[in-house]
Amino acid sequence: MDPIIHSIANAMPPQTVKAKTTPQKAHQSFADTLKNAIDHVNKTQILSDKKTEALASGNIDDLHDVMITAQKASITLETAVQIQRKVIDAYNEMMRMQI
Amino acid sequence: MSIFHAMNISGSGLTTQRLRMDVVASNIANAQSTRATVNENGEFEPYRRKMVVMEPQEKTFSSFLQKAQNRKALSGVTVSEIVEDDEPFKIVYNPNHPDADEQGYVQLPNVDPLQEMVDLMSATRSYEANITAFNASKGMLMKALEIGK
Repeated sequence: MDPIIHSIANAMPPQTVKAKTTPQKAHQSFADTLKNAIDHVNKTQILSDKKTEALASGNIDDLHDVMITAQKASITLETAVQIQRKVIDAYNEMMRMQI
Repeated sequence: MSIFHAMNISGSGLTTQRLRMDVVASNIANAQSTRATVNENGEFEPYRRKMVVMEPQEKTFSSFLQKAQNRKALSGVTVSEIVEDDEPFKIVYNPNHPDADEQGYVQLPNVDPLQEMVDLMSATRSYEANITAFNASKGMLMKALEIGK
């Protein structure tokens, strides 16, 4: 499974948060998983950059390999953006709630 | 990463077809090479036509793991070896050629340019097919991101 989707799925367990989990702990674990997911997205971007650089300096001879890595990075980034959009939507929904 | 599996498989296809293209280019370029190797008698031998042999990529760790889990392993393609064509060389009468024998005949490589052109087109089309498959799998992933938009 894709680590980013996996870690985000882990970050939002549906109603299985244990009673003992303090808000601070939950906050920490959410921050960690978010950081890991973003790290993963960043890693794919860095890999793509490195391959492009290697291609430019002549150290790589498979053009399609570079293109595929770039596409993978773009899809991973797009996934991250979509998830971020969803999270912000959810937050806005919460803020609009009448009390 | 399983969501990129199809892309990795298409990538292996692209690599293989590119190697096939390299082999065809070598065959066409050497279609007139009379001095490719030296045989045991110290005489020059013409270039022999090369061919690629392909096989599924089954010797990787992940495919063994999939097999151990009783799952059907979907694998990419890889070139197992490049073999030489054993067909006899073409004999052409040309007594002025430095590599002609006593009777004036020259051995030319067993490369048929027509067949090489067909192989070249086949490699190009297969490359395009792999790219189409890659784009289709990318399209599926991008469509999946549109769910709930």
